[in-house]
Amino acid sequence: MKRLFTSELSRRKVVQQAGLGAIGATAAAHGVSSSATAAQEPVRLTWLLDLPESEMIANAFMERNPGIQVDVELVTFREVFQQNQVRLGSGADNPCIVAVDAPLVASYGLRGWLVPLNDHFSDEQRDVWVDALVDSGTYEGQFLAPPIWNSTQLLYYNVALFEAAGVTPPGPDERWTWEQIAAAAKQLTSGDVWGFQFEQPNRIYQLQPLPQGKGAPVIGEDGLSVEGIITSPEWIEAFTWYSNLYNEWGVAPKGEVDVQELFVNQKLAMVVRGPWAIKALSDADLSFEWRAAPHPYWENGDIVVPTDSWHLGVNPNCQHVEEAIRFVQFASSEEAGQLWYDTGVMWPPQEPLLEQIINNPENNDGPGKAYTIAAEESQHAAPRAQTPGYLEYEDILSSAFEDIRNGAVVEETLAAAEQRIQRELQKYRNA
Amino acid sequence: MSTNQSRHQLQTRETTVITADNTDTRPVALSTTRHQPGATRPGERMLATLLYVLLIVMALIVLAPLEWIMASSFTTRETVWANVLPFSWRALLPEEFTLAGYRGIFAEGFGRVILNTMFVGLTTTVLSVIVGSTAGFAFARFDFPGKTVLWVLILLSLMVPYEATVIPAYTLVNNLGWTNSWQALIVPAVANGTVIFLFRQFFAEIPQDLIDAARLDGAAWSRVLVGIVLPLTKPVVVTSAIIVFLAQWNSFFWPMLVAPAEEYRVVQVAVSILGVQQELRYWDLLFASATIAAVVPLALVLPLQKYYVSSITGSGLKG
Amino acid sequence: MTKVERSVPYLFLLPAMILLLFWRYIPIAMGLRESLYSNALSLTGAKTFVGLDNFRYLFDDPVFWSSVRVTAIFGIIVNPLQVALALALGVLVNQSLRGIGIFRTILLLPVAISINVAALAWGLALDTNYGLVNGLLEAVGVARQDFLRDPDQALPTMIGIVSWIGVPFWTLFILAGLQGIPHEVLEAARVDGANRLQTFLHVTLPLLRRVLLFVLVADTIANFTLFVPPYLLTRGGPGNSTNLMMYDAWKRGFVYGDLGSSAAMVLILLLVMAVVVIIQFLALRPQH
Repeated sequence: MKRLFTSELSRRKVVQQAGLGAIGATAAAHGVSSSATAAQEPVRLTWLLDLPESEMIANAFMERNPGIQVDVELVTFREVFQQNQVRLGSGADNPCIVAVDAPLVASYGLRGWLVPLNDHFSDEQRDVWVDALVDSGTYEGQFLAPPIWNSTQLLYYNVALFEAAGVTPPGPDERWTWEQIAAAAKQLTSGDVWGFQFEQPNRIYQLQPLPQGKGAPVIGEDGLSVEGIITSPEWIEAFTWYSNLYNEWGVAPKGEVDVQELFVNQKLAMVVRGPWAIKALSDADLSFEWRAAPHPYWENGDIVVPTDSWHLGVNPNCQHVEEAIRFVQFASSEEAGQLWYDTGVMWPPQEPLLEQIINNPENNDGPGKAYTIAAEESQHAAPRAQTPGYLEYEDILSSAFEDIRNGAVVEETLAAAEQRIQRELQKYRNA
Repeated sequence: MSTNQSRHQLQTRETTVITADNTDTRPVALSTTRHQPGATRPGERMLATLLYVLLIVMALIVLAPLEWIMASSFTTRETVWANVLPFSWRALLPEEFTLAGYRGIFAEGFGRVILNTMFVGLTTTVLSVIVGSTAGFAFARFDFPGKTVLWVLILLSLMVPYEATVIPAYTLVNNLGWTNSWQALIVPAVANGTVIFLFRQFFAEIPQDLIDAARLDGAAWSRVLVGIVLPLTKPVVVTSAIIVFLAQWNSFFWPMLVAPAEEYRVVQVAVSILGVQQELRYWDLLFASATIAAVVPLALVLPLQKYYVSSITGSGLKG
Repeated sequence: MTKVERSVPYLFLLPAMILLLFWRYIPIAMGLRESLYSNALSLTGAKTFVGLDNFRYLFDDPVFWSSVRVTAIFGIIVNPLQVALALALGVLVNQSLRGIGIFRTILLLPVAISINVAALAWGLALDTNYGLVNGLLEAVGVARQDFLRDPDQALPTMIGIVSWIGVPFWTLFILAGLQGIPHEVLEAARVDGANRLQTFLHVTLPLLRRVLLFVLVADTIANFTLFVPPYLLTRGGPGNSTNLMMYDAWKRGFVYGDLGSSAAMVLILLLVMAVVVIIQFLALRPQH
């Protein structure tokens, strides 16, 4: 009876013997045990993700690889993390293809949830991607998950609201400072119009340029400590400014009302959002003009822009590891990057594609210029904290940012968050 | 012994039981005069007015958010937020009536999703009522060694949150090879501690004479349960069926975990996925699917209300 | 009694117990056993027995204690409130008033609404800037409220949202119980000169004892194990003010990957729950 409640295959064994030989052997052993019927039916790979467009990539792969079927399991963004935790944590064989948020590569790698892929991606293949993303996909020297998408952030603004308030907007190549943003937001806020908002106002992904732009780190060098970091003067200054947006100056809305809806209904003058907004705004048939500008920075500070997105890894307990690796190779290739980009929803991680976007004459001015700006922002990309405790780190910071936004005292809130993160990271320091 | 006979016997029986239980009551007069609504006394009228005011206020609290979701589901994607930023009364009535949201979700296979969930919900309900009523009957009407221990175990099964057992339960599903199957959705939900508890509480109220009489007539215990006890406790059967069905209709995390394939997709999973795309939400699809997710169980549950309506001649079984 | 006769109750219990054994008891034992082991973080995957370390870790954690406090306040308010309101609502819609059928239908509607949809609707309706409720308040000259974003209002607001579904749900059971009270009994009390309150207290309530026990126990358990509203609406904030124990335990296990302290927290919750439930059984036991 005990066997019913324990997972058959220990994934750790596979990980320890990392090389291809071991994986091949395991796959072969599975082939034998899963009996002769498998020969007739297509190999089935499960892929859990949050984006409907994934079907298109799965279909493209299946056309090129007859005999392999990729089953896309769609869940919401937040559920991807929960499902991964439970399924991979209990040693299940699905999903075969694991969606990993860039900063979680370390966490999944430490737990042995991903097959090392060093031997399956040549140096030339890895050179195709933006450098920062190759780093994100690597943990302790093992390349675990290639990037399939990328992200960046730009400033979008409503031209009509700027005109109405008599404020001159930034030019297409003009990078505003956060100080300028606050000053303009104060002038733009009136009646039921808000001056400014972040797309994801309580996530470290979106907010880390605030302390980083002042030269502060977001985590200790070993990735296992935040002592003195989150309570540093830079962090306090950055988040006092952030708090002022919502409380002191009241130029940004509290709550979780969709920025897309606020912006298209002309209730929001400026928003910092990802490149997926370009298509969403172009498709919205708006009665006003909008433009984009580079991501803001602090006066005399560093230029730091959020980056990264999903990577793909392979579950060591998958029954068809080799086929799964082949799929991951395809989904992260330049060919697939072009397909993703053509949907208008995802941003490619491959440098040649970014160059193409910049060189496309349609992207020289007007709303299309936003694509060029987004592609150019890659050079300022700063990846998120590299720590096996990223989930804890992010969750605790999210609560802290939300509290600050709702008016909590900045110093106290950050100090409490620092303590709590430090406490949760303890388990990795001991491991 | 027929059901009608037993019910008749129960009705004659109850007056005696009541007299015996409420020892301070003087002989009970079985008056048939009934209090009429809106009667003459001014105090009564004021009370009635007060009750109506209370009912209307409560009805508004219940209806307002539901009405808004429903109105939004008939509004175009572009205008759904226009009257909410800031909130205006116009948001409660769609300006341009459209079925686009509904067309959208059915194009995405929501019809199949409803059938899936109905199948899972109804199958679980039938099995759960059978398993729950037999177990509840054992606890309510028998004395046997180990009864207390087993009863504590039933309470334990209902006290431990599912989230705390999800990993071992999921591992079991995997090892049985049940991932992506109907049984993974149905079987774990069949034995329900709440339902057993509920049946036990109500079965304990049935007068012993009735059961004794049936037993003397030679009825098997299963016959006593099916022929006498269950017909007398229809409101409980209905309530159990409703809670099991709703629990299945509303379940989200477990189906997403054990049966993620599209052919097994159930309502709440579909509601969460439809209209969500990275940082964008298609609100019309979301509101339309939320509306249907509420309307379907209501269409099933509301007709069952008749079992709750206080009937003057009611076949009371309180003893 | 024959051998066959003696086996009858066990046969009736068999299907339920077998299903519970596999789907509840073994998973429960395995899940709670984690509380004595360290989380398997190392690549070797070996679980180490750590005795009561996970409990000590919790007892040293101020967040754990604040979660205990929040859960206690929540439980002390929400359980009596829901049971009392469900009882009142049950009695109210059971009255023979004109048009009561319509009200009964309306007031029972939330029963069919999933907690996900309810949380979505109320989350939006209670928004500080754009919510329906603040629109209403403003219309009658009351200042806008932060509700779920205010550390003092968040817990009461959550109690309100949870009760919006909970009260109609538990009313179903009260109605099923009231349905069993013969009209003649109530009529008899009236004839004896008892007023409405006396009838309610001395006739209706005692006859509802078993149903009330069920509602009280089941409601208490449901509220102790609640985690969806904090998950969807507040993530335990602001300032941990809605960080219910079950949500905290869930977060430790499935977000922080710390199954050990998560299981320890569930076990503590379970013990507290058991004490409360035992008291409820004793308080409402048959008085013979």
